[in-house]
Amino acid sequence: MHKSSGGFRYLYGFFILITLLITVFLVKITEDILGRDDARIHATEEEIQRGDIRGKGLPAPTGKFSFGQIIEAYELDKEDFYNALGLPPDYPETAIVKNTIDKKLTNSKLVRDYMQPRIAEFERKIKEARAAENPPENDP
Amino acid sequence: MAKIKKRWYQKAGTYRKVTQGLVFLAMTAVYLRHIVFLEGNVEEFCPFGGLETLFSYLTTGTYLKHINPLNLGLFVAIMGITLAFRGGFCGWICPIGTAQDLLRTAGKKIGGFSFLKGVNTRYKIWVKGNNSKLVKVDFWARKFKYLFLIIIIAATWIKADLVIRDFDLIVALMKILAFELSVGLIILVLIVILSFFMDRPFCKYFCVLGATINLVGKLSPLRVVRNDKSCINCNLCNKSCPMQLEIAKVPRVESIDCNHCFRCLDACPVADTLDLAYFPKGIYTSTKKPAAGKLEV
Repeated sequence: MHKSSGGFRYLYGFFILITLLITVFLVKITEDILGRDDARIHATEEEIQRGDIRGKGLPAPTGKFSFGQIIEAYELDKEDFYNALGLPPDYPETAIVKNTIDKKLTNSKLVRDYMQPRIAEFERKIKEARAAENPPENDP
Repeated sequence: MAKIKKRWYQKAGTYRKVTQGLVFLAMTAVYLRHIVFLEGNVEEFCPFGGLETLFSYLTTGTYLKHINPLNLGLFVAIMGITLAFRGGFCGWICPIGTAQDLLRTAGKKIGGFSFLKGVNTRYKIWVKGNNSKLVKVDFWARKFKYLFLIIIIAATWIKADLVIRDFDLIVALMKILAFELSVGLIILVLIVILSFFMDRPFCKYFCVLGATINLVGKLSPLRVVRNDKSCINCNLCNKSCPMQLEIAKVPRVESIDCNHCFRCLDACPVADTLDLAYFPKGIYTSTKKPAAGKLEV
């Protein structure tokens, strides 16, 4: 028979958990150092700075932005946007999306349904614009 | 052989439950923060996203939409963990596994209520009467997740899009407040119902990350081993196994379904009969596989 594993069975989960925690820590630290919080985003630094939320898709943090920021960043039509979300036309543009959802003025599904196709369209435009700026070089 | 009575601190299950509980609470907090306060991102903790974006990352250096570096980091870490510790992630860490364990415990408790005893007894009799058929269904149903894995990965890599989102339990949970009917939500409800009646149905039949871990885990040198000389053939190890593996007849557990929960080690009443071992004898030379066990209810 092999040598008994002793206390290994008790520390087994601890080893796994520590490995995962170190991984999370290292990835987060690396993201902070490299500024790759938006690594999945295909937007340039300039685009991100300009609109702050441009190209970020529609993850949860979008809820922290105001309607004005979203409208400006994604070049939306304000009237169309307000109509789709069921907001009164005189509703302030400075209102934060999340607060509006919390107050039951609109709901996250409406926001998502409205934003997702427009964001996809916006990303497609960015890709096309970039492709036009940097056409693939022809092989000699 | 002297039988031993294990105290709580001598059971691996105690440490497993603590680990599972900590991870489950942490992930519940991340989830609630995401859906209630719209902060943080529960999806970035999904290791399977790392495999989905792997092709895109290696070929273009970009991540698929909804995926970020943490998905990839966790996937790589879990593959390393699987090589070192085999299926321990499923047994000790995965919050979906923990949720199923909790539901199963609740199911057993509910089944013990006096007014349900009649139904419960009839259910047990039905399972025993149809055991051979159920074992066959179970055997083939377990293959489904590997097929699902191949389809999902191929479709994701070809379309460069997260096709699994339509079937994903976590995405269904994220959208639960929107009351959207989706395939993922149907699977979620099905899994919740099944979990009351059987151990870990999602792990057995649906989990694509589990399928990946099972395949990679085959390369791990760690095994649960059994000392044939001291074994008293009480079959308590078989009865305790949530994956219904045959442990009592084999020198070491080779099944890729073993998630190293160590319930068998805790159940074994004889000292040093079931144990863990790296590179046990015959691990890479023997082709003998343990047979499927009986379905226990």
